Parts: sequence; C-alpha cells; structure tokens
Amino acid sequence: MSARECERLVESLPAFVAGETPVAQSAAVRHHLRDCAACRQEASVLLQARRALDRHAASVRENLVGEAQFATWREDILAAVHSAPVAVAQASMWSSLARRRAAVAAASALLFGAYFGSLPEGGLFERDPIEARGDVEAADTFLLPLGQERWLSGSGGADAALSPAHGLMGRLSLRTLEDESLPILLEDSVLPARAKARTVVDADRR
Amino acid sequence: MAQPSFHSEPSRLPRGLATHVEALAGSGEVGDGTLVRSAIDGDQDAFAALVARYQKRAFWIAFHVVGRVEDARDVTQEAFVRLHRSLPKYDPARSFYTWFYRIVMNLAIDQLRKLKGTIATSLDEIGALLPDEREEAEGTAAVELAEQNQQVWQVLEQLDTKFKSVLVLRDIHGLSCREIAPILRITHATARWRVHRARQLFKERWERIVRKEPS
Repeated sequence: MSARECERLVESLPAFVAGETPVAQSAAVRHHLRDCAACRQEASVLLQARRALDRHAASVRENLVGEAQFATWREDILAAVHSAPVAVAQASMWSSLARRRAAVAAASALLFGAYFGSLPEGGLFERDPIEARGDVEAADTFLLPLGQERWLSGSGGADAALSPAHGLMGRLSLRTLEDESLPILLEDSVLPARAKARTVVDADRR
Repeated sequence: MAQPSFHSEPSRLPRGLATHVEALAGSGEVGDGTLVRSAIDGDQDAFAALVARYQKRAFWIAFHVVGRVEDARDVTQEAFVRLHRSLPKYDPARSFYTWFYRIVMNLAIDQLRKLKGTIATSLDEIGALLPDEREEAEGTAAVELAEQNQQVWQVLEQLDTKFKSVLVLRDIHGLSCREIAPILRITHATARWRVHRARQLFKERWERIVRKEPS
C-alpha cells in the first residue's frame, strides 16, 4: 500500500464509518482495509468513537429527562408565551434593529446639542467668523480696504493678507511670524508699488 | 393579517395536553405550515401542537450544545417565545423546522458562550446518571456506560462550537448536511467539510481520553 493511497483512504474513513460513502467507494475502502493493518486500526478507532457517541446520545435521552418533566416544561413554555410582555404587532414594528437605530439617533442628537449649546457666543449661525478670531484684532488697525494686498511688518509679529478671492466677508489668512529676526522693511524689489508706499507710512508713524 | 391572541389570557393552560392538541401534534396529515398559519390566525391549539411536536427535539439539540438540563430547558422555552413572536415572518416556502432549529441553535450557542468556564457542572450532571451504589448487582456494565458517557462529554466540551454544532445536528440528531446548512447559515459544502472535520477531531480527542483513562 502506498502512503498516498492510505492518506486518501483515511480521509474518506469518517464518512465510510458513518455509512455515507457511495457503494463503489465503499467497496474500494473495504478492499483497502483488507490489506492495510494501519488503516484498519484507524477505522476501528473511528468506529468505536462513533459508537460511543451513539450510545451516549441514546443513554442521555433515556435517563436524563422523563415524560412527566417534559409535560411540565410544556406548560411552562405555553405560559411564557401567554405572558410575553411584547405583543406580536409591536414586536414586528419595534424590531431590535429599529430600537438600536433610534438609540443611536437620540445619542447623536444629544451630543450635537451639548456641543453647540456650550459655545460661548450663542448659536452657530450668529457668530461672526472674523470677530471670533482674537489674533486678528491685533492687526485690525493696519487693514486696508477689501481686496487690497498688504504686507505688514513691525513689532506686531503678525502678517495679514487680504485677497478679493476671500469674498465679501474679507476673511483673513493669518500667519504668525515665528522668526523675530525677519527684517522690518522688506526689500524694495519684492514689494508692489502700493505696499511700498504703505510701508513708508508705517515707518513714518514709528 | 390577524395576530395570535395569546396575550389576552395570561392564565396557565390546564395540566397535560388536550386530546385534540395531541392528535394535531401527532398527525402526519397536518403539516407544520398549516399549524403555523392557524397559529397566526389566533388558534392557540395549533401553537400548542407545534410546541408538542418540537419541544423534545429542541430540548435535546440545546442540551447537547450547552450540556446542562436547566440551561437547555431555558433555551427551549425562549426559542418558543421567540418563535411565537416571529410567526408572521415565517416564509411557508421554506422548511419550518430548519427555521425553528436555527432559533434554538443560536440561543444555545449564545448560552454556551455565557457558560464558558463553568463547564464542570455539566459533567457533574452526567455523573448523576451513574447507577446508585445499591444497584451494584447490575453494576459493571452500567458503570462502564456512564464512564463512556463522561468521556464523550469531555470530548464534546473540548470541541470548538462550530464543530460541536454540526456533530450534534448530524451524528446525534441525524439531520443531513443540506438541512444543517441553513440552520447554521453556512453553505452546503462548508457543512460537509465541518462534519468531516468534526468527526476527525472527535475521534482524535476521544482516543486521547480513552487511552489516558483505561477502564
């Protein structure tokens, strides 16, 4: 017997022992078992295990619970069905999935309300996005009309630029100058004409 | 569609099965689908007949999965309560018992997960099957049988739930792989493979236990 042949047969043994192999295959297995002691041993252990399982199932059924016990439990089952707190119609309407979804929605609403209710300046849509930025106020006095570019430099340490692309609200993009050593006056070649004039005014003020 | 009217009368039914319910449950001519339809229309006897028809099978399936009588009884009761609630959802084109066994199996597996770690109790329970010391005359064979039962329990409890489930349904309750597949929500091929593997595992572990404890 080749090892491969035995390997293939051992795979089919559980079904063979359970009587589930087709007739032709069963004949081949029997033929192999006649000549192979190792596979015969394997089949024998499988058969014993299977018989132990069958005996166990039969024995438990016969001895563990009697008819009278089943009759009592049957009454309990019907009583439990009678007294089930949720009516069928309600149960179908309020399936567990629906209940879960409702709980998630309620929790989300609560969190949403708690977050926006705690904001210092009232409602979400009443706030002015520019005024709310405290860091902008420092540069406010230097702002030019909307749409005009501006390079600001000085002791403020803030560089504000306005662009028409920012829209009517004149939103600011702010950049804090981290490097204090940046020159106060930018080189002439870098500045546009209008900004150059402005920097001169700034210098005069100082 | 009319709903069952079980909720209107919370009183207990009289002890034992009424004769006509017993006849209904035992009748081969009245199919499960017919009983389900009658139950949905409010016929309490039809539901009682379904309980009578499937109570034991449900209990034994649950018992072989959870391994404790009390838990199996609770699982069976809960399965019927859920069945009653879900009756309007039953699809008559499909097998009733497959649908019901799925409820039982799901509840039993849930219960087994809760019980993990308290397995020893079920062995004690099976130990109660050992014959009384006074019955020594007939003793040896019965004692051997009880020991073998304990060994089988040990093996079943060691098996992974997915293998245990198919082994219980196929080799203890005799369901085919085609019936097992929808109960466990797996394909037919998976059911066949699991049965094959479960038998191998059962044999390996049973052999190990038997060799360790020669009688």
